[in-house]
Amino acid sequence: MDSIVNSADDIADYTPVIPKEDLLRSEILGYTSWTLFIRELEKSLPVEQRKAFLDSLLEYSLKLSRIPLVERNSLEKILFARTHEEEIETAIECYLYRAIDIDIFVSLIGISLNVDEKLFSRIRKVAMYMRTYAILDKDIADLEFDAKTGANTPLVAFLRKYGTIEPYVKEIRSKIYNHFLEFADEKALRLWETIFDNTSLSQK
Amino acid sequence: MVKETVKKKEAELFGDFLVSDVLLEVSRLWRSEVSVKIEGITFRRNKHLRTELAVALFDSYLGFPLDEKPGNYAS
Repeated sequence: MDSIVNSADDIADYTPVIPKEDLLRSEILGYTSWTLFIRELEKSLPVEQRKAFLDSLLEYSLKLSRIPLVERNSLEKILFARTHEEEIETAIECYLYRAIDIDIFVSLIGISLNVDEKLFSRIRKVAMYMRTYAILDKDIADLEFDAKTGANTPLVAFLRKYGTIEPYVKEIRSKIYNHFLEFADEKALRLWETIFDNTSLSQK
Repeated sequence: MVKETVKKKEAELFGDFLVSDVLLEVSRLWRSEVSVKIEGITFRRNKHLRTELAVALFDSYLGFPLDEKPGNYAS
């Protein structure tokens, strides 16, 4: 699933750096494996869980397909924003939206283990915020490449507009973490510390 | 003429491309933590580690490592 989502991301981020032929082949391979993977995965689930799985997958695919549009709109909004608050809030919204790419990974486990709905929503929300933070880290690491290839990340927008990202990253990080603290329980906090102190999940 | 060009292009692109080869490679990928090359294209699995994050969360909330449960997606 990770590789399929990554392929979809590569297709959406098409730039002249990737030869068109490779992109087309990648697309065909990506969709072939996606279809076969879903078929196999569905078959591996108990019959009573299959509908929930397919519903989640459909919802996930639709949300995922909107990410490139959200990224493009956010980039323009930041570039033309007149207030600092508008810039930061747009960047945070964009990161939160991009973080939905974690959703199916949580859903699959939740469905297969038949996790209680209340606990499931909590885990889903924690996952979204942790993923938001991880994507921000990833954007920092990829900044040079993203700026060169014209990727539509909020950090590229800040770099283009102000020539620096540092103060913006600091503020975005802090606001995301504060939102997280508003609902995080002890387990979520412990996991956050483990993961973001040890950057293995966020930096790779 | 156009048809011929398209045919030629298709042959250039896909050659003796077989879905079974793709399946084999993709199944290798699912079981591995590294990227694999298929037809010259790199498919990467663990760049963002979404799976690992989801598994870590369930481990933490349910209180047991998922890979000790049979029939899960973590192993």
